[in-house]
Amino acid sequence: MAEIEIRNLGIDYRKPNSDELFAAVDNVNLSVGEGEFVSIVGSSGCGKSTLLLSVAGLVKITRGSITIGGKTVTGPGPDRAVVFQDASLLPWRTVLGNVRFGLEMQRWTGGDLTKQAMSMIKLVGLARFADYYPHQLSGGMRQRVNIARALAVDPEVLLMDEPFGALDAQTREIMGGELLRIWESDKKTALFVTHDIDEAIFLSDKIVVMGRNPGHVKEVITVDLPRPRTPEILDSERFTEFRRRLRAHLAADMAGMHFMEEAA
Amino acid sequence: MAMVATSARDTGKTGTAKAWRPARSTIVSIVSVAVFFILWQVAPDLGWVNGRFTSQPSQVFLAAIEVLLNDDFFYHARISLTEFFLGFALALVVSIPLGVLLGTSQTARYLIDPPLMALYIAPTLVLLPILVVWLGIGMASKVAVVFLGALFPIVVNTMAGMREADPKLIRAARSFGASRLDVFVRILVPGSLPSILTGIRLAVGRAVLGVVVGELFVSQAGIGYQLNTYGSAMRIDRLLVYALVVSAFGYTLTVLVRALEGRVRTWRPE
Repeated sequence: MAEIEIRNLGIDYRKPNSDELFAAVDNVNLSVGEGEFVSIVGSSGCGKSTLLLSVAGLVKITRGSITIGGKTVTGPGPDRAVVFQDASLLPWRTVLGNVRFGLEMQRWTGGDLTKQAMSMIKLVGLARFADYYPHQLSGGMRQRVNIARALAVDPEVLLMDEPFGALDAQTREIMGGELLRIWESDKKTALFVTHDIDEAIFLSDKIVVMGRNPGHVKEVITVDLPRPRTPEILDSERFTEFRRRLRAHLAADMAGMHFMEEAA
Repeated sequence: MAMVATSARDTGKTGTAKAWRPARSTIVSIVSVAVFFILWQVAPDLGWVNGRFTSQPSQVFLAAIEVLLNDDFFYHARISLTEFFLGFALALVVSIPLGVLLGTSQTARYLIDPPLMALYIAPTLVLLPILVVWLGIGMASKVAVVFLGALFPIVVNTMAGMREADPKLIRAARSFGASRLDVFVRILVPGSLPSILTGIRLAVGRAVLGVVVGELFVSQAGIGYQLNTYGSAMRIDRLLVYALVVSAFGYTLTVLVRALEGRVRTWRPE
């Protein structure tokens, strides 16, 4: 089982060039059920990436705990894989080499590494580009490799940190649809950080709205739109309703931010 | 990729159909070199310069044949090459591990960085007189000069290559459970290879300089010794033959390392 339980989570960072600490995230409680797709939204600096990376085991937890399928997270593990905002591909390796990379690092024993990597490359639609180097690919293609690399290790939990953040609007929409198609084929537990409201509604079962200073959970909204979803639902009345609610939340947070900056 | 392949085939076709036509830059280079040699040849004959000081291309050519046939050329070349490769090999063995250590350990950097930088910036040739006092006028002092000259460019560039490793790549590797050794072997080493080769290329220049200047300063044999001998004897033709040998050697090695760098860098567009 791969449900995620986050209990009273707090993460402190050291301020640059001083011993002072500040809380990036504080008192966060969150449950993500097996096979659920949960998005985290919030204005920049609300700690949403920090939260995701702590689930990945890449950020040290100061208070509280994270468990996945009952096991406490103490570091990275083969039950999770991360899709980073920046594709983070090795520039000296081809598409195939990069997708193999995660398998090699995990000492994967599930069979032939190249075969496994190739099947994921096909899944993300890059079969023709297996021998290309990252610098020969577009931003969207690089993110496909990034996703294929994470899927190749067959994780129970897929963690995505604004994977489409650097893409243009059109590519972004296509990639969202692709991601949904891939995810719906085997429904892995997924945690997805984004600042794009439409993307969050379109993809998610639940949306976690985070606020700042320190990062905390403001509300969890259940998106009960039927699956499988198609781009047509973007124009539906219920979609618009979700969009309105999320906008109101984020706008309130932005207003609070300006108020605090003026006070400071 | 497909497009690149097609265009290469196209140029192949047109290349066989049309006669070979050199690029404009090639023509200009050839003409300028030819003009230089002609002027150099005729200038002493026309009394523009004193041929005793400038020699002539034809004389240098004849001197080259003499030198190669009987001047113990290969004996002197062997001495210089031995000094060069011994010193360079020692430098490689010491500098790469040292650069790796400095690039990956902050403590090591705090400890060694300031004196290292001071030595890197100062020409190591200033140490030549001391080296001769310590090691004598034989090959050992030249090996030491080559070693010191080649050491610092490689250390500094290896260190820089290690430090410039992209933290995002390291984080991605760690997310898949990479160990510290994995990060070193799979990310730091391939990532810093171009930098290390740049260091080696810079080191070649310094090492060639070290051998020649070391031998010019004080020695019993070697290319630099011959340069000194023919300089004192006003044999400009023979002096130039040896100078050409030195520059051809340095140039060839640099081109070789640069080609290697090019191969390693293909993945890096910038």
